[in-house]
Amino acid sequence: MSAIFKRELRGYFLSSIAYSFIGTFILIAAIFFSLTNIIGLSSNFSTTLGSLSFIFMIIVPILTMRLFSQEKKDKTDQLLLTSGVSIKEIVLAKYFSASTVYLIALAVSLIFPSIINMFGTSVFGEILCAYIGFLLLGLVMITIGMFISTLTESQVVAAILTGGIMLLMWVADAALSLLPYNLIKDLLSWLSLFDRLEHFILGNLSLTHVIYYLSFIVIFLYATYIGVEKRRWS
Amino acid sequence: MIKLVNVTKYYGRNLGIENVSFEAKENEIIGLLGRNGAGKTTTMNIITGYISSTEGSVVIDGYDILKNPQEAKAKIGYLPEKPPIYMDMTVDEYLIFCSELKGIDKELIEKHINEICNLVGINEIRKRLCKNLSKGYKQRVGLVQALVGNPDILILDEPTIGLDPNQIIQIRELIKAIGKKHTIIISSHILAEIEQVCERVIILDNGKIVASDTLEKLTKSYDNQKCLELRIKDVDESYISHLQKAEGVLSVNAVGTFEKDSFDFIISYEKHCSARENIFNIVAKDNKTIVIMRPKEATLEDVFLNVTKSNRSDG
Repeated sequence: MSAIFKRELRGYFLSSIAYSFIGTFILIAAIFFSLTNIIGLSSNFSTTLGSLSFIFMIIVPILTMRLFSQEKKDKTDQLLLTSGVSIKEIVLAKYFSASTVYLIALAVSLIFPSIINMFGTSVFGEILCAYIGFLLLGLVMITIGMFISTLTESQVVAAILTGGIMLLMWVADAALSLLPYNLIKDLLSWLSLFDRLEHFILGNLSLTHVIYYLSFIVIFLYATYIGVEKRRWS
Repeated sequence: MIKLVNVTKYYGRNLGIENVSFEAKENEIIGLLGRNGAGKTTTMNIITGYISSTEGSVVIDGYDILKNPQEAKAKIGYLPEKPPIYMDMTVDEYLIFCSELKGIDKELIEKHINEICNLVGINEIRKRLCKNLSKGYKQRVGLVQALVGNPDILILDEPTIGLDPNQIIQIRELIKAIGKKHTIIISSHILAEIEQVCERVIILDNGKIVASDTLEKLTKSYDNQKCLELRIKDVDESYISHLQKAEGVLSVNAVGTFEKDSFDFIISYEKHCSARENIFNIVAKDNKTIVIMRPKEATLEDVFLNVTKSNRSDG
């Protein structure tokens, strides 16, 4: 498993993918930081992080589009699937490598709360809580993108599908407030990944919300496993 | 070493292979022969566990490929039709990755890679990026990848495709040498290659095994039909119609001109029949001269054409 993890991570940094991902994330975060915290004279970076949630629609497809689709297209999956490494290990190795690039981007973004801390006051616990929520939401989005990359041989199709599904989720979340109170609204609200982030942004670190995100990660990791396994039977 | 029992594979509603059963013994080299789309690659993909069969079982040295995939796959080295190479890695990096993937002890990796690179002759390109390699070298790197971990079984899907004539000879010799210590299944539609390398041949057509035996027995089994090579002076291709009139003649193929003012034919005729006399009499009656008339031994090509043709006409 560690061999695949190292190869994937190396692949991210040898190609421009890791740099595009981290660069885009930091650039957009810097713009929001400048507008909200510097020009807006606010020391609350949690709110800035909350407004950045749309960023996943742009950056997650960059990270996940090639994970399985490229292997299938280049037939290198034949090496992985006949080498004796289990599908479970392949899925986890690829997931951990994509998550590592995401973690690096998040680590670099810590520069913004550090600047606030240098020139003003910020509540450490609140920022930590917002970062935990943002981290978990990102990890869920990566599993969704990874699952979609098992469905096609084309990186472009995988990227468009991933971005499209995230956009749909974001729009559905925004439309929630327009829906009258009923069962559908309740259901959509429960399924809304973006809605849960609000709790973390507000400093409400609840085990329920953490488990909620972790459940989605497990479900989509399993779906990815099935996606790879199914291709062998089709 | 390898045992396939009634293996069937459907791709959706399309049949890939049907009831394919055979066994490969230790250190045996088996040739899998068939036209494009006959089911060779599907069979190999099922043996290696890359795809699953719809029905039937594959057992590798006592391990079922579906029930004990890790144990079974550890015994197999696979070179698919397109070598599974990562283009962004150097040859050395790629081979180290393959070694780690197959769980080789880290301290032994370098020595092991040196050995197999020497064997296949790719030492001079080990520092180069895979994407910059020629097709022939990519094929060789793919072969080295299959040899990583010194597996008991090698599955090679058209291993000489894309190689130049010298490389083809080298790889064939290498396969023969490796075959002394490994069980090898090699697929090809180059009949000469199979004839030179393999001890036993399995011919697939439309997803079914249509012949399976040693080369010697296969060619002998088609001996009830005899072949003649014939060179006649002062005739051309149109003389076929005259030759076909001879009693006992099954078919006549025009081969071409190899000597001035003459034409060559290959005639197949029924074994227990005086067809040679009949042919001679017809040619003599036409006042033509037979320059060469000699028996032609049945080759794998004849067997292949015969079994695939009869299978097509059955279908």
